This record gives sequence, structure tokens and C-alpha cells, in this order.
Amino acid sequence: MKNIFFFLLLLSASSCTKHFIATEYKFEEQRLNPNSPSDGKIAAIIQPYKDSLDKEMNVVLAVSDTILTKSIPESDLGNLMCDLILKKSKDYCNCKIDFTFLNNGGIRLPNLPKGNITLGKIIELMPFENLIDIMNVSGKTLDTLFNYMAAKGGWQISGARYKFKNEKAFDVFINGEPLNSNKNYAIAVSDYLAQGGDNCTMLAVLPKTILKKSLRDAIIDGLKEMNLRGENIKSVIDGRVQKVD
Amino acid sequence: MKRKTFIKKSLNAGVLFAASSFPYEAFAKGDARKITILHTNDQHSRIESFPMDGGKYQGLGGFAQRAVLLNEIRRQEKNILLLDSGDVWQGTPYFNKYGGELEFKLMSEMKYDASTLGNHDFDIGLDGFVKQLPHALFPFLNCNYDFTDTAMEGKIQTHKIFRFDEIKIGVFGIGIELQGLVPKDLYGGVRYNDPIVNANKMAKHLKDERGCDLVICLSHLGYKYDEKKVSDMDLAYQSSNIDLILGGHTHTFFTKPDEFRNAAGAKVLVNQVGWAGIYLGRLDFYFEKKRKGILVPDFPKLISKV
Repeated sequence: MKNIFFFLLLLSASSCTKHFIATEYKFEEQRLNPNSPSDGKIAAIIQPYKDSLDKEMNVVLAVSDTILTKSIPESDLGNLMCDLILKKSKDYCNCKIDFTFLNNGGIRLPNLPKGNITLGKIIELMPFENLIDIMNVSGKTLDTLFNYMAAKGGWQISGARYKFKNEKAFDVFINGEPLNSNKNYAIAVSDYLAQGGDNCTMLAVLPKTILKKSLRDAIIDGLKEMNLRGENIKSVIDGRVQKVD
Repeated sequence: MKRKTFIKKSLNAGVLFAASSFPYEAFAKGDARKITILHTNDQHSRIESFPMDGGKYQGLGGFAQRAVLLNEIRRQEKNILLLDSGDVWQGTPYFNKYGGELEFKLMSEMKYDASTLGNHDFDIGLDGFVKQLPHALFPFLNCNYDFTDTAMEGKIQTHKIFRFDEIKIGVFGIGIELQGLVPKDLYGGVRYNDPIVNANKMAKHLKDERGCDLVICLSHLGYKYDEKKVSDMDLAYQSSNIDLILGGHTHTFFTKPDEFRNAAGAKVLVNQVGWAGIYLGRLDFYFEKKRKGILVPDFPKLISKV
């Protein structure tokens, strides 16, 4: 009891000065909706930038039959990007590449729309200037890589398939063959990941060949070729990445 | 009155005082002050609203749309701080073509008071950032990156104090670990220091030495992680002297601010408004003159949510 008296006396002695204290707060967030009015002054600053940008960016690269969506573990948007990157990487280097993969953070739009796919849209999807690296990687390193992709919730892939449970990958197939720990594989990978980005530390120490083409170049060139062939973008989900509960 | 009775009465008063949430009727209403904090994070160069193409966020966001809302609030409120928590850049061709110039110009026109550095604000290297900095008429705040001997040395402030009559608001910034996230050739010689240690040091300085009534941390650490990686939640628990953490990086859409108890038992608020300027966050703080140190842990209270 005595201690409490002392505590209170101390308290009153030390709290003579008054301060401003935030006693209440009110929270609100306002969404900027499709029908929100726009400010003329800001719009006028944007306009000249927009005019010259639109001329370059509204070029149609290909046409999509459907809206594609980013998601994990497998998504039609991720599949399209990886399929194009794998195909074009092989063309650029004129060499054998077993598979490619993409971190989820590297896909920067939630959707690719139905209809005309413009250059501007692909820049939003893949705004980074990352170049493609070709690497020869041991099956052992790939064991680590596939487990890492599993731990990240399932990264996007082309040329390989894998399942995972509790952050552990299994049933890993590369070009239709089970992953062999004693073999080496050629992979096409973003130089960001090849340098250990998104904490892909297992790749950072290994030698790599840099293609002078970016991931975005591969997607753009791949889409242009589809368009020339009269082929539209379609949604492809083939179970190449599966999470098992 | 005998001394013992006096103490007993004081004790009763103290108990009453602690039990009631708003016991200080004695303070006149005129003592209350209102400060409006407006904030964005991870704008990612989303200059125009998302196009109406069936995408998840179609029609949402837009700098010109935000400006209308800001002007409206500025007409109604006297004491406003407009803050951003980093990743102003990267995400639309506006950035690829114009290198971030337009984003800084528009934020200046909207009268942003401060921002902090996100990892993507290093995407065109330190020289790229320094080149665009003259277009930003507001400071970038960070206290856990060491810019010594880099192009950004002397160009980033650790903190800024804003005064509204008697109220002082201290604002500072902290950034995420760049290694493993940003290519080394882009962030160059910038060194990352412990965000929690530096945030606590800065917040103590602002509260104790500079007499700030509210301390705001602009953070680009990210809200929380499954993996072991320092987050706003970690900072909230391990901090003292920070009242509000305005976060970013994880693009988290909050429905209302999260409330945590800090290391000293006081309340810390954490908020984040997704990304791409889809939302403008708003927190109105009401201040009263109080004796410091008694009821602080319970404040501030959320009085309503719209």
C-alpha cells in the first residue's frame, strides 16, 4: 500500500507541466473511383507528357482472347510470360535451354486485359530493364531453387513442372524427365534473380552468360511473332505448378 | 485535515482518474487541436487512373483525381500534412520514358510535405534520383541509410519538424534492406543500418529533445512477413516514442489502422493504403493539453470510422 502512495506522489510531482497529447483520432480513406472528377491544373501538367508517350505506347503487339490473371501457385499470366521468355531466349542464344522461371514480384500487373495488348501495357507488366542470363546449374542447386520457389508460394515456370507441400518441392520434372541431382541444366533467368535478387542466393555465386536482351524484349518479340502468325493470346493452365495440401 | 486522510482522498481521485477514459472535463473544449494527416504509399508512377479494360483496379486512382480530393480537404481543414511512404517510382511507361520527373512535379504541385525512399526509388541509380530531385519541392526523409561518399550525400534529410501553432509534429523515414532486393550497381555505396535502432533513436530525439507532440515514421519496411524480415509490426512492438507508422512496400490494403502496444506500453498506429494511389489515407488527430505520462498508453482512441 505504501508503495502506491509513493508512486502517486511521484506521479503528481513529475507531471506538473502540461503537453499536447493526441487523445482521439478519426480514420477515413477515400477511394479514387472511375467517376472521380479530375483537377484541371494537374491534368494540364500531365497532358504534354501523355501526348508524346501515347504515340509510342499505343502500338498494338498482339490480341488476347481473354483476360489473364496473376496468381500463385500457377497462373495463366505467369505461364504466358514464362513461355514467351523461354522460347525467345532459345532464339536469342541459339542454344538449348531447359527451363525458365519468374518470381511473383517480377509480374507487376494483376491482369492483362482482353483485346488489344499494347506496348505500354507490356511495360507496365514488366517495367524493369532486367536482362536475360543463361546459366548452367547443377541438379543439386536446382533442388535448393525449387524448394525456394515452393517456400515463396510457387513461382511461375516454363519447361518444367513441380509440386510442393509445406515449402518442399517434389515431383520435379524438367523437359518431361525427373530432375537428376547429378546432371547439369541450362536455365534462362532474369539477371536480377541471377545476381541473388529476391534472395535467390543459390544463384548469385554461379557463372552466367548475359544475353543482350531483356525479359521484356522477349515478351514483346514473342507477342509480335504470335500476331504475325495470326495467333491470339489464350489462357493456358496445365498444372505445371501444384500446391498439395 | 489529517495528512493520512488527505492522501486517501488523493488516492481515490487517482483511481477514478485512471478508470475513466475521458476524465478531464476541466479542460475547455478550446484546448483541442486538430491535425489532418493525409497519406499515400507505393504510387508506382500511376499518373493516370487504371484504364477501363476489365482489370482488377480499372478506373481507380489517378493524380488529377487525387488533386481534386486534396483541394477539397484543404478548403475544409487548416492543419494538413500530406505524406508518402516511398516507391513513388516504377510501374508505368511514364517512369521508363521520363525518369520520374513528372511524378516529382505533380507531388510538388499537390504540396506534398515529405516522402521517404522506397527500394524502387533506386531503380535508375543514385545519379538518376539526384538528377530528378530538383523537381521535388518536398524533402525525402530517411534515417537508416548512410549516404556518405555517394551521389546522394547531403540530399536526404533524416527528419523534419512541422509546426501548427502550438502543436509540433516530428516526421522521419526508414527504409528496407537494399541488399538482395535492389541490384548493387543501382544503390552503390549506400549502407543500410538497423531500422529499429535508428527509428528509436530518432523518435526519442524528436519527442524528448525537440518536444514533438506527435511522432510519425514514414516506413518502407513492409507491414509484416511470414519469413524473418523486419517489418512495421516489429517496429511497432519494439519502438517507443513513435505514435504513427505510415507504411508501404507490401501494398497492403488496410480497412482501418492497426493498433499495437509499443515497448513502453503506449499505443502505436500503423496504416498503409495499398498501392498505385487507389486510396488517399486520412487520419485526423485531436490534441488536448494533458499532464504527460498518466493516461498516455490509452491514447489516441479511434472515435469513428467512415
